[in-house]
Amino acid sequence: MRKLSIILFLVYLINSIVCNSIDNEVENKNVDRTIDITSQLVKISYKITLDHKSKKPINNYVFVAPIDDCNNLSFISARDANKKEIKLTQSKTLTECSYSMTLSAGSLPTIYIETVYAKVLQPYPTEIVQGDRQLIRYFGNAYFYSPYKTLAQKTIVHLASKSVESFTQLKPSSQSDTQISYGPYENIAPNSKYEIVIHYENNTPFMTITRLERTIEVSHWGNVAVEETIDIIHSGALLKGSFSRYDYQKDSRSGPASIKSYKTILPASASGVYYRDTNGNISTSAMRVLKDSVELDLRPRFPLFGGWRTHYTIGYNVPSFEYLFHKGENYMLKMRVIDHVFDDMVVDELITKVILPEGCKNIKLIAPYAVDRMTDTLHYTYLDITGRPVITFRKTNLVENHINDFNVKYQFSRIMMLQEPLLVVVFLYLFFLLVIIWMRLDFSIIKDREQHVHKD
Amino acid sequence: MDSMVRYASPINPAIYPHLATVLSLIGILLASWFFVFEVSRPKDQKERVIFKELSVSLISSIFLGFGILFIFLSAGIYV
Amino acid sequence: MVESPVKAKNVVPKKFVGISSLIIFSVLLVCWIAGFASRLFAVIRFESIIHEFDPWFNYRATAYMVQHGFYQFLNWFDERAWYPLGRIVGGTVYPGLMITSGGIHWFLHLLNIPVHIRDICVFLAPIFSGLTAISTYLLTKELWSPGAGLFAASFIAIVPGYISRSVAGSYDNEGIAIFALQFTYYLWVKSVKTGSIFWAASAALSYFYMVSAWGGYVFIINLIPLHVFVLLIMNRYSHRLFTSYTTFYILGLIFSMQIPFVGFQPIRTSEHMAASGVFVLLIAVALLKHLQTILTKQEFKKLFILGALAAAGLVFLTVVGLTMAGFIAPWSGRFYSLWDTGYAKIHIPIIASVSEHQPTTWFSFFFDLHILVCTFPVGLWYTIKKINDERVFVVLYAISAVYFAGVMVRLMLTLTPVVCILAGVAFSCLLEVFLKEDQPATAQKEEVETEEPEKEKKLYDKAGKIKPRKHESAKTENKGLGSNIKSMVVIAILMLLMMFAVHCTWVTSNAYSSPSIVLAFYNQGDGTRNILDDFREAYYWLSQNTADDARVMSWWDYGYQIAGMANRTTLVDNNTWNNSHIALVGKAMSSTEDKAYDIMTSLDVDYVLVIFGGVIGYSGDDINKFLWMVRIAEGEHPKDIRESDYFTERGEFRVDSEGAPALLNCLMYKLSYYRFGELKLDYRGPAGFDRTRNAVIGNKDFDLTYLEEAYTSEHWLVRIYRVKKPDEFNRPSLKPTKRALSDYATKKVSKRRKGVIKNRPVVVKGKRSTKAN
Repeated sequence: MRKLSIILFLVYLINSIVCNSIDNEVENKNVDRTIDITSQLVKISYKITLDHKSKKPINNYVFVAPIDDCNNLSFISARDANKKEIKLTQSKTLTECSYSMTLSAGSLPTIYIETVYAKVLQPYPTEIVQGDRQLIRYFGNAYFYSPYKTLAQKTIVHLASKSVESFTQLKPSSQSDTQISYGPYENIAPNSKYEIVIHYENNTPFMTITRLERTIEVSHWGNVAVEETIDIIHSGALLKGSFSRYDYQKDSRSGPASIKSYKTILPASASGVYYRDTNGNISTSAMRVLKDSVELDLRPRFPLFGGWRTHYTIGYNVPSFEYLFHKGENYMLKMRVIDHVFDDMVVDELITKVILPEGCKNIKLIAPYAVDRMTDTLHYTYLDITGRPVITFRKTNLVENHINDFNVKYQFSRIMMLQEPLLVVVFLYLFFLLVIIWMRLDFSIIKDREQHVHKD
Repeated sequence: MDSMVRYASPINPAIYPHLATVLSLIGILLASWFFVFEVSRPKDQKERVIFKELSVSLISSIFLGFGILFIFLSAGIYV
Repeated sequence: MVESPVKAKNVVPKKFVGISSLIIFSVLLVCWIAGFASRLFAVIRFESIIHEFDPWFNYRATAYMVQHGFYQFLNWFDERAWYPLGRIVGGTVYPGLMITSGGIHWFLHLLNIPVHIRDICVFLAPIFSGLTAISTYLLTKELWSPGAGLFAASFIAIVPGYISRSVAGSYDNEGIAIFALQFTYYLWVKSVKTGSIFWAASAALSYFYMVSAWGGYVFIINLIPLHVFVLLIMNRYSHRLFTSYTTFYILGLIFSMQIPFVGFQPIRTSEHMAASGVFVLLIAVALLKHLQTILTKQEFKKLFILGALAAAGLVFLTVVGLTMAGFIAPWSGRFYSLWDTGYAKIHIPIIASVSEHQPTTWFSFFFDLHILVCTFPVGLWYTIKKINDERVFVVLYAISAVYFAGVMVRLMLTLTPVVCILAGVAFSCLLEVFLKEDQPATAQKEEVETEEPEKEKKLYDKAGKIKPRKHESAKTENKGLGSNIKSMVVIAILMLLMMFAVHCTWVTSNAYSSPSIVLAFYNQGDGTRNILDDFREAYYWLSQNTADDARVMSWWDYGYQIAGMANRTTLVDNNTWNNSHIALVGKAMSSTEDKAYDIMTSLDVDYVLVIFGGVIGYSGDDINKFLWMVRIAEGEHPKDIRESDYFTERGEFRVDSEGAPALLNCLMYKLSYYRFGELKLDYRGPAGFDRTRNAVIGNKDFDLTYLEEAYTSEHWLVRIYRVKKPDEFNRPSLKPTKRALSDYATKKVSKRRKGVIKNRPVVVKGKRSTKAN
């Protein structure tokens, strides 16, 4: 009992601190909300126009997500009216997490916020047979959840298809084609909630990358090798009963929720692309070189149905001049933390490893967002003596919006490049010396052995 | 950071295969010369030939060493 | 290689030593490269991948050893095979192969060369083919001359009879064993020649490696005693022979017993008895020879006859007595099948069901050896004509290998090296005769030409500048021949060799370079190549989407592949050590669905995997193998399964509507053809047309009660079914007490049924449809 009361007290305390930072005079004059649930992600974008009752300039604004959403919130970004990025500071309480932003004076009181939630859409029913459509339920809030009073708001939900099983009505709300609109609602009190459920058909790929290991190996002989090891699971409605190849072949529409293939986009300069798994090369892939990228049409060995998983490795080389910069002995590698695997991807866990040449010093990592830097290790490969330094970092819950560059700065003296060939030279020379010495040795016990060799 | 320039390999990767062929061919020729010389070397005059042996094998191992490096590079093993 | 100039020191002037050893070195290097390159067809056409069936087990065992260390490997109990029995792998394999590639892996990683163990396994056999070529050169050099040795080396580098077992990816014991075999023989010949303990001990060491690598070591341990025995009969006893054989035998015996799989076999089985018999005999002869120096002639004669008779009788009686008493095991079935080719067919259907255990046809002799099969008798004649101690050996080797190769296609492999040696001798002698006059080139010059026929002219000119090497047989007996005839003969020989090289490449490319787990076919219209990757597709599905401990039932052919590629538990595999377990699987496959369900639940089967080629016309599928399943099942369960039930009244094996009802309702049939009856392969043809057997299937409309389709690969080649749990259909669950294995377990039938049936039925197999490709 006492514990509970302490917790309650704490909650109250934290709440009051958070609330204190909220200026009650601020109002959301108008909110346009777009909820995009056409894919496996929920992408919500807001256009918020602010107003101050006392007509004072607004310095601070807080965007709040309820705690259930907060855990699935993969990505959030905010821009002001000039499309300039606003920095967000996150704070978390037991009931919600809030992102406060400082608005520069004199800017128009309009904010654009973009959020992406992964794993919010729930298949219902959770198990379907091969020919069934995949039905998805979306749970959301009819109102814009905000600590401020909202004067007017409107929400448009984009669906993946026309067929909607049911959706919660809250007048005025209507469905037209692949859209459901809620609102406009006026004068909504702060922190108000009205749960809506949209049950609709969504056969877009529900794929989750459970683990992605990305290895970037830098060579000063002009190459950067990238290798990605990927575990994928079909995270949509599970397949119930049997998989029939006959039905699958007879009708191309059979198995609408299954995934036959998907596209991966590689950098335009990628060469030597390979796609394989533990059993060898996967022969069912096609590569198309486009103007600004290389498009890889990957087909797993088998179509992915709900709950099925696969695992593969993909790798390619890119020339160093696209990603490696230098000035004297200072080098900087500028590459992506994560690259595109398929559209609207969800990545549970990412591990990126950067293998630098042997003999690098003063290595510094600059990541575009917070990552867990793991302990540095050494990697031994061809013609190494002391090992190559490896920088490893990890991040969970990523989406496409996380595709961004990181920088690794290090120092490397060019003379070290000669180390590898000289190693071979020394090795060979030792061998020759051994031959020279060998030829000067005489191992025979008896000087003239010809006498002891019997010839018949 | 702005003052940095793009980094390219000191040797154009396009000529790696040619370098590999030429260097290792010269290296192999010298090495085979060395071995033929070793095998047919007269036993009695040891001291006079040692310098020749050492120098031929040194040149040969330099050529072969770089040849092997460029074979690696042209095969896609970027050391 | 350093040795050859030393040997030839007395013969060739000093300044030619360098150039001749350079030539020997470069020819052997070219042999190595050519042999390596011609084994790479599969890698270039497909990829670096392990082939076929047995290599998958070897690869899996090697990977296990690399991961867990050697001692763990020796103690490895594989619970993923032979469910529920398991398999003691460490004690039932020849570990030489795994140790070799594991050693290479360890060494490369010591040098920080991160080569994957799979690539080492794939390229092991091609690399060892180079070593085989070198040891063949050494052996032939000891037997005849370096020139003949170079011929032999280049023959063995590319001869299809050896390539068939050593292409890249065919990671099997034979790949390294032929090297060990040739090297042991080389060391043995060397030790007989020199009588030195050093060479004999080296031969024993090499023999140890061979024992660790391949069961074919029995060939060595019988051939070398045979050599000694024949030498004794020919009255060619010498102290050198005594030293080398006694050293070799004792060391070899002790070494060979260190391999866990071999264990006490060398002293307890009949296959090894000849060696110890000859050992005793040799000591007896040595004793007699010694007595001869002491006693008078009359006394000695008496003693000799008495002693010889007594000794022979005693040895014979001891062996028979020990065999009867059970100390020495009688000859095994596989050994019997070497003497009586019909034996396996009657008594061991599981051996007979393997195609490589069939007797060899004349066609395959020519196919595998080409011109060598014609020239090797010539070489044999030359060696017999100029016989000496070590040439007796090669004669015996040739004769016994020819016999064994005739019995089993598989043993063609042991014949190939000796054919290369003798053909090398023959070509060397021939060219020596015909190149003698105008600054005759030595044999090894021509060798370069066989490797690179296009460069023939240039090399020949260069060769002319080199002084001839003096051979043992350098007699001038052909003074009368005109130079025109000579050059014609030489050109004819070169043409033959060129054709040989072309034939070898053609055979390698077409017959022996298919990984068999990836199939390729060419479109008839535009000639583009399509790859059929169904096996890996299905195995990968198994590995990703079934429970880690799922048990997969399939015919034994696919056991190793399932274990290797899908990493799932199998019931039976290519090890075939337990015939009754295989028969149980065969019985399940040939029973009706509900009877099979009882067997499958008693064996805890989760998935059943069948291979079905009817859609694409793949002839090696399970329906075509089905009769062997029935036969093997019948051998153990004659009451339940009768082969004759699966034939029509006219004695035909057919899958269409006239097929036998037992066949049309058995599990294998249903699993292969489930929902196939609805499939139309083209617009004109009827539904359910089986392209492999060219027939419309007889039982089209059926449903499965106890199983459900879990996965079928893209071309229907592999079909996987899930066995439903008892609660998933309306049927009382099987009580654990009723699930007792004993109903089906290994009951040996007291009276072995002879496999021959009156009015032997005719197997009607469909032709392979051309439409499939």
